[in-house]
Amino acid sequence: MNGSSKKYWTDDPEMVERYVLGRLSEEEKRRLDAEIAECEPCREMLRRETLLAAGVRRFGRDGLRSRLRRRLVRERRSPVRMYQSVGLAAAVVIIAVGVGVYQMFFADLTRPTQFGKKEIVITQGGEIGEAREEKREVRTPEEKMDAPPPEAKPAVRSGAERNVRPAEAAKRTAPEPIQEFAPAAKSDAAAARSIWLLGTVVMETGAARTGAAALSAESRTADAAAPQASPDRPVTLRRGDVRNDVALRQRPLSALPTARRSQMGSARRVETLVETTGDGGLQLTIYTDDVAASELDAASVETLDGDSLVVTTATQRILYRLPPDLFTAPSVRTKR
Amino acid sequence: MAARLFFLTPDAEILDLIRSGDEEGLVMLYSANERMVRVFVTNNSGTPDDAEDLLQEAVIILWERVRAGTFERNAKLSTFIYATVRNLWRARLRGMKREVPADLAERDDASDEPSPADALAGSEMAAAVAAALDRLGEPCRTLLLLYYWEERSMEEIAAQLKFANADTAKSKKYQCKKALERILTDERII
Repeated sequence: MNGSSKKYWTDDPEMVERYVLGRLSEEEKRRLDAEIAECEPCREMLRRETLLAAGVRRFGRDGLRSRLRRRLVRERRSPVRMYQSVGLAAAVVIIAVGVGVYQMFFADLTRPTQFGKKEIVITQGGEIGEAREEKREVRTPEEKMDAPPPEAKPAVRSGAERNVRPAEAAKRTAPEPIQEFAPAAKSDAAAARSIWLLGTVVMETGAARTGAAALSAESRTADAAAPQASPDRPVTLRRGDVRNDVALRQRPLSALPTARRSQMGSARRVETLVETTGDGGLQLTIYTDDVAASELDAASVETLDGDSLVVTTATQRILYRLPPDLFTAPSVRTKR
Repeated sequence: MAARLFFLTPDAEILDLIRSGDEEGLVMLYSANERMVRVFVTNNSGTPDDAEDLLQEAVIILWERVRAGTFERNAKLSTFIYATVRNLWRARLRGMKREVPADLAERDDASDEPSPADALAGSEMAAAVAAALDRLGEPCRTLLLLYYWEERSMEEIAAQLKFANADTAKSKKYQCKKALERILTDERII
């Protein structure tokens, strides 16, 4: 084959095939390398054999790789994998819901329930709303909606809705038809300085009139922006041996925060912002067009059964039920 | 009904599948090493696509060795795959004339030096031969694949292709090689 009588390793096809497939021992490979260095036909034969083997192996690999890729694509699209993905997503959702439920029902009740930056507000009446709470902002929703004018005394500081968890709300009795209150539950001392009370006009007859002048249209709507200050003389509220000074204010209904208007329900309801003062006093800001600020001069305030408050003006008698911890809750205090 | 086999380790199951020619073993091997290889390649200036490509190449090399009976199992399959991927990636970085990280400079033992045929398998010439083989027809295509790619003995080939004996298979292999060379000569590939 090589044109001479000399016997070369390349005369053995199997030896050549073993060489191209890398199956020769080191000794065999050394001897073959020595031969092909001096034999041009041997080198050509090895080159052709190597190329043929390389092509066949390439064919096999390309086919296998192509099939592998197809299988991987199928695997990734397979329903099993999809179900696994869906299952994983479902597990995440279940865990998230579980954590949420735990926080809602079992977490520290002194902390407000928050979902992201939204705060769920549940009033005693069972109504649920959302209030935005900015980071580290201690003002309650009503404070934001109804911030008093800068020149006014900051008597109106917060809303009546209490941040109550459903579990706690569920423990409460049926909604009180007369008044609606919910002492603030935020641990932040600044969060519950005042509450909203929904008073009920229990009398609107001549018997309630004390001779005060009838309200004029002008007096009802005058200076709607700022609360009308009560007389300098505060009304004294007696609760057993305890006396509380009560300062009355009036603001027109147009100044009532929108969120609170929906709480009123009927014309016989009077929204009132009650704020405690540091010395145990009360400041009541009554949102009504039916009572003029001047009427408050002659208004009287008295307690009823220790847990109710009756404000009697020239034209109306308004009943409020006070939350039992209004004067005792450490978080209830006035911020000036 | 055939008894179901239970394997002590996933590696044993994969090797059994590959030995029996079941390509599901490749999928299992790929899936088991996918994350490891992606982390390695992307941490060494490669892309996820590079990782995918290298892992496919590595599992095919393992397939070839197992099928050829040259795979020596002295470590976990993941160790072999990792070492192979490192060697492949280093060679590829050098081929692209890119800097090879210092910890990649040393060649890993798990992957031996390629045979002359393997060294040439990535060339355009080899691709042309592969295309010619595709036109060769059966049983020559399968016979040459069994011999050169899966490195089966003539006895095994005879049994698989139902030839009378190994000598018949050997004779048939010679005829198939000549047929392929004719195609290559006609197409001026060699």
